[in-house]
Amino acid sequence: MDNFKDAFRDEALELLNRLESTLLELEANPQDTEQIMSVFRTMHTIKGSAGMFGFDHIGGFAHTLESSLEEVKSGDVPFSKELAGLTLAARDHIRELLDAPEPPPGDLASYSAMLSEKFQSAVAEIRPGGATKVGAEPTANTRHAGTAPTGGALVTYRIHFMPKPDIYLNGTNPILLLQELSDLGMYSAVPYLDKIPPLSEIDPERCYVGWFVFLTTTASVDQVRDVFMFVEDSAEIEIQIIENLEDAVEEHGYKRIGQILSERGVIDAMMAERAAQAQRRIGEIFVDEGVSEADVQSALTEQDHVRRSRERFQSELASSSIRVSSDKLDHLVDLVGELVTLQARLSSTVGDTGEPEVISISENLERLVDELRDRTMSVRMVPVGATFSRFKRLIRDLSSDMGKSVDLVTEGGETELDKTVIERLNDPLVHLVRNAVDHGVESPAARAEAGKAGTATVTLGARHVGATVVISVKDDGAGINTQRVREKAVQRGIITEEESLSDDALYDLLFHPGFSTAQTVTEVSGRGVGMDVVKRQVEAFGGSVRVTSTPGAGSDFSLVIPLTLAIIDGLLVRLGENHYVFPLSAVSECIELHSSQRSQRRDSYISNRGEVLPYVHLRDVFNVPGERPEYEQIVVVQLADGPVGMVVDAVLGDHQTVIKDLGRMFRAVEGVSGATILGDGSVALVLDLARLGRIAVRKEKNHAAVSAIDGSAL
Amino acid sequence: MRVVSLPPSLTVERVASVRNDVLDAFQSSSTVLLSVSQVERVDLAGIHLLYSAKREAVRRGHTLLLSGDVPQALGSALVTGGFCVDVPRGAPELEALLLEFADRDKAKTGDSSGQE
Repeated sequence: MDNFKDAFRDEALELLNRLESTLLELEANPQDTEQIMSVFRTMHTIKGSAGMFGFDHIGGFAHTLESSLEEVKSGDVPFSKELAGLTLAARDHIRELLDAPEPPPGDLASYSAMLSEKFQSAVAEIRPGGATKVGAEPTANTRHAGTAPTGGALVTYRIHFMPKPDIYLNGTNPILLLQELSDLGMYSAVPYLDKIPPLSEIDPERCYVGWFVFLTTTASVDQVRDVFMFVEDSAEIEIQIIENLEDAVEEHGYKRIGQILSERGVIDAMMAERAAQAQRRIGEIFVDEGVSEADVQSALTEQDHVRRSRERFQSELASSSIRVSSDKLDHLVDLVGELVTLQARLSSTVGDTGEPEVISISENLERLVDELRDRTMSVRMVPVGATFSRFKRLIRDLSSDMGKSVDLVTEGGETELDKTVIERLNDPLVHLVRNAVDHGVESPAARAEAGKAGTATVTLGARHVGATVVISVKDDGAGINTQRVREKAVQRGIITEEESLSDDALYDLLFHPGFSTAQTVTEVSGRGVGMDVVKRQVEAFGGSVRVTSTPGAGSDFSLVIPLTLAIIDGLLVRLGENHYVFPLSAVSECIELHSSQRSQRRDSYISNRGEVLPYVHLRDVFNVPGERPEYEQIVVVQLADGPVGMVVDAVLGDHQTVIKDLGRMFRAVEGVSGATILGDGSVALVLDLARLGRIAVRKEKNHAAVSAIDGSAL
Repeated sequence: MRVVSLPPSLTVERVASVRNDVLDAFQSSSTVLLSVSQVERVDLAGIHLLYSAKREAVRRGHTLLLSGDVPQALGSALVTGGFCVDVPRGAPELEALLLEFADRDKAKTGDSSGQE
């Protein structure tokens, strides 16, 4: 049973997360009936599953919410901001209840009651006319809240409910009884309508309908029977257990229609056997034999109900996804890495022998290994969208706390990143988003003064740039006030009054420990935990932070994160005697560079398709000795700042690259991120392009300074 | 064509008078249109009435039509009672529901579904 309960928790958590984002959207657009329906459905599902698994308190609570929302759903009561807020609070409360024991401790239970009351009064207030609606069905709220959890097994009941014709006389509406049953769990009902006479013959005050109800729940037989407590004398009620789900999960298939019908005494076993052997459609046979269509229909529904309830439990038990410890995954990735390396050796060895058959086998193996590699790597990749949507709530809470109006826009949520990286991104992003709302976005008054829309926009975006993913937090606020940053830095003694700094250098100051430009220390940020922490956290997994800002138009904090894959497609190049590997995803093209085009300077520019392309000689960066060949190759790579060319001796071709750690000793070496073993057993270095790009820029600046001095000396 | 507007309270207390209204309509016209959009409360007796009216129409060879949005109370009562799986979204879906019932009644040997 605990398995089921865990499965219910997982399902509920997912539902609650979805509910949160729906509610936030509803808040912005309260007329969206689609979303209102979705909120209602979510509550309904939570109620149903909670009832089924014995979380009676949650079930009862969700039930009252659902009833209150009923009127919103039907359009009698408009969905208000207040209701959205209350529903959000209720969502948080259910979240808490999920972690609490069942039944929950007194304070939680009384909070449920308080929230339910608030809900009902909120709906009553908004309701046109303000009166309590008479039509509201007095369903089994108290039953739910009051029933002790059974912790019983999950079973499917077949309930035969035949009201006597005079059942209305004692004021019973059978529909309400059914409603009560449906609140207990997963529910299907089949009415028997055959006895309803034509209008001219009907006595409208008599009941002509009976039901077969199929109910999957943890409630005990007694609890199910309790529903009919007041009609026992005016109806025939037969309750049978047809299946215990925990036993049935392993079984396949369910009783045949004939079996079901003979079990119910509709047909005899002989006939069931005959029908099973006939070649015709089973439904037709029974109808021909005089079995009413309603009987066949209800047997079909029974089959269907059992199938669906099993499916639901199987999927909740096994779920469509499974949790695997990351250790196991890492181990798998390592093994695939070894396989890729071995495959590379095989390919190069086989290529030398020239045996066509062996070559063909090796090529096929290579294809399989490639796919195995891709699949293995993709297991760890998760879209960032789920992380992004969590920020909707944060923005909503922050902006209402600060009296600002802020919309969150997300872009590129489908971009995938390594799961571990995504987890570690959360803290820095929370900080940046808070920062954007607190410091970036102006107060409504200031926005009005600047002639901007009252509602500010914070954009969370993710995109691939070469072998990196750039996650940006953008706002359309006032931008970074460089003057203020400067003043503050001087005041804090970080820089001196005389130092002149470029804007970029000033932005860098924001990441200086303990730097904060907020005018006042607010709840949200400015508590001494500065942007330096963000920088440290991002750098811890090999990323970097870039800042751009336009005065009056907003600022953009981007996290550049390497796709830290253990196995990549690489481009193998040669520099002198040594081999190097470019991550292929960053490479956009290769261009030839003739010695005549070469400038004497170490870093230079060429024109490529009408664009200026800066390039850097890797021979110089790595101090490779020897003569340069007459024709060199420029490998053009896409970096976050744009394309940069890297000059190598020769491009050798693509290479499956299993990245190995260089070890502690070489951690400080700039420009390489790891090593890989080539087919012939030799080692090639994997280039860290982002770092190389920065080295290039730095050298360029130094060079410019040197040239300037050279020039002045002339 | 005669139009009968079903009352806000389609419950056991009112069904007798509604029944008479609908029967009157069948007397005077071969096409009767029931407007359901006013219904605010409905119980099993009310649902009976819809099916019974359909059966009456079939027997007389008359046409029974439905019109109006299906009110939420009616829709959810139909679902709870297992009369349909999803809430009917409009009068045509409700009409189809009654038609299915009438067909089942008319042709017992017809194309029934079955599975094994």
